[in-house]
Amino acid sequence: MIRSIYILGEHNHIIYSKEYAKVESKEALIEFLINLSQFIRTMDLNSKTEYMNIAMMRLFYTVRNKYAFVFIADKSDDTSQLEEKMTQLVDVFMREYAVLPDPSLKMDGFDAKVDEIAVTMVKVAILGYAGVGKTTTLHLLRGETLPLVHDPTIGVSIKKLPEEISNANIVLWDLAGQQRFSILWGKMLANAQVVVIVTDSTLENVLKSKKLVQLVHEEVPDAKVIGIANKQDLPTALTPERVGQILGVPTYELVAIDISYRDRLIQIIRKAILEGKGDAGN
Amino acid sequence: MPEAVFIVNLDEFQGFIVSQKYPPSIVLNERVLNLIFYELQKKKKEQANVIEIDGMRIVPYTDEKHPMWFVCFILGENEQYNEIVEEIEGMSRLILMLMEDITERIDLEYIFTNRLKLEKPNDEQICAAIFSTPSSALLLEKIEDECLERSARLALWLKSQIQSDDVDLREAIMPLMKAGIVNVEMVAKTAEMVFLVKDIFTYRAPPTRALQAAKESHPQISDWYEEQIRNFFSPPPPNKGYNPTIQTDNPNSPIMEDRAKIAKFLAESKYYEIIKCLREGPCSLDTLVRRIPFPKQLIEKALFKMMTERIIANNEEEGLWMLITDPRVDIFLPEFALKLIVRKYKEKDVSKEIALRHLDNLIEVWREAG
Repeated sequence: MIRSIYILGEHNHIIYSKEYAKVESKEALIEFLINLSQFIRTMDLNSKTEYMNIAMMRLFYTVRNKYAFVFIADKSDDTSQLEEKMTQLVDVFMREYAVLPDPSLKMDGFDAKVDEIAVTMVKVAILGYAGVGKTTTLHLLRGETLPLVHDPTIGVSIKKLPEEISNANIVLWDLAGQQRFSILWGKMLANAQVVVIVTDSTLENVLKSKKLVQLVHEEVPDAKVIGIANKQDLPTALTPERVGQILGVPTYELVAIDISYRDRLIQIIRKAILEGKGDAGN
Repeated sequence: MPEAVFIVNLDEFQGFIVSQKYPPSIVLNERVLNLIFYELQKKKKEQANVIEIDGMRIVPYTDEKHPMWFVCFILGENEQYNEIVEEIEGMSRLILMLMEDITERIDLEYIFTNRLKLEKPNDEQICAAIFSTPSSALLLEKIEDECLERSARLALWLKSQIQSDDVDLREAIMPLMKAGIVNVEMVAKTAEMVFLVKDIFTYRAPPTRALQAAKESHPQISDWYEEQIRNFFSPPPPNKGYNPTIQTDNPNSPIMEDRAKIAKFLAESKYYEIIKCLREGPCSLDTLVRRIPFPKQLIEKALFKMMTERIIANNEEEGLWMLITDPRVDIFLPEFALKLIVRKYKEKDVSKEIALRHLDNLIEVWREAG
């Protein structure tokens, strides 16, 4: 995945940056980028995209006129795909923004265009205690037939949503709810843009799930968090409003075993992704 | 000999990815990978343990530097884990290091069938690693100034220096503790103190052993070699030679920068393994490739990098590489601490109990060291 994007101007200052994942040692990185920008201008790249490896990351770069463009991606990413994305980004920038007197001052709409090019995956984590219906929710989202026997998840189950949302592939991480797997939650939540906290709508479970909301805020403070009041067909279920009040996050009703909820749930996740992007931009 | 080896990466988006495996026929599923990862999270890193999943005995290994990567070995039916654990750890260390340094896929089959391994970092590398973490190096300078300090005060100081609330003193101090430079302990149940018990100095030493070896094994280059060393340490006037003892507090001074560089070459195995070989005498590239378990391209890259930093030189005519400066890290008794302890006690900055405890620490450490 592309972790971050930088465009540096004539004097090697950053005129645009976008980060999709946490950047370690940002100051050092910026210093490095400035030096890199200086260096690559001395090379004859001939509009080609080159790359270098730094630890587990792969850094793609190119120069066009007075601008240097840099992607920080993962070493495991497909090189040709990344080169293609770089070409798209450079073309959009050169066509629509580089012609402006000072592109760094007026880049309206560029962010969205960068997202279109760069965002390929959105991670949605589904978290909740054992037996609340997380895996059933996952099956519902994927439009799959529900298994007849309850088979507790081991660690994490990762599946894609069949449809794209806003040009992004949605990867669903269904985290095992058993207490013994709680040591994994922090690591598994990393880089989730949306976290869905599933409760079974009983008072006991909802009160307990407040801890999960806190954990998510600590581990992924930038993620959009929503609550799910599942098992609304049961007589003991608290209303979604009450569940939301207790959890302190927007909460929606669900009967995960009822296929008619699927579209509604996808809309909820779509909204959360778009709101999440909006929040991050603020 | 284990039956198979595989390398797994927990990608933050795509989940578990088996990046390489040998033999290619082994079949793994999400459940197995999940259980391995779960077991790894429960256990201490950099230590292999055997776990049983679906009738397979698997030994996974990870380290602090690559927490989302793990190397796993599947043991044979009658294989005794205790007999091969060191080998597995060594191969795992090598694989993780190469995963970071090599652009293309690593030759897993070659490593596995030839049982190539990387040794555990030794004391010299553990000490040098302090300088790989900027906050630890910063903390070392502070503790060298203070000699003894409350950890709460150090935590505040570190936060103000780094200008971030996220900095964790425990993490920053860990490399210093691992290297035995400081002791951290509670005194009188009230103050957690950090005591400087050893001091550390990194420098370039003349490679006398390597030069001696060259005189015996390659007499044809010994004069040339000696001249290279002399040019660095005592060049003809008006040039000044290398003097690592020049006192400076300026963190940007060339001598401080050079110390950090030396530490990096010692801490990183891809350089250190070469330095270790060249300390014994000049070597050709082919000899290095035979002695060091790294691919030729990596060794070549490391050699050229060290050449630009004037650690090694290359005699092209003979095709030999040799040390012209030997990177060293020395540990010594911080005698200056004694005066500081007395001063801090007199100024009532620390209690008698704390001052005595620091002295006890110094005595304990240096009595053991002889």
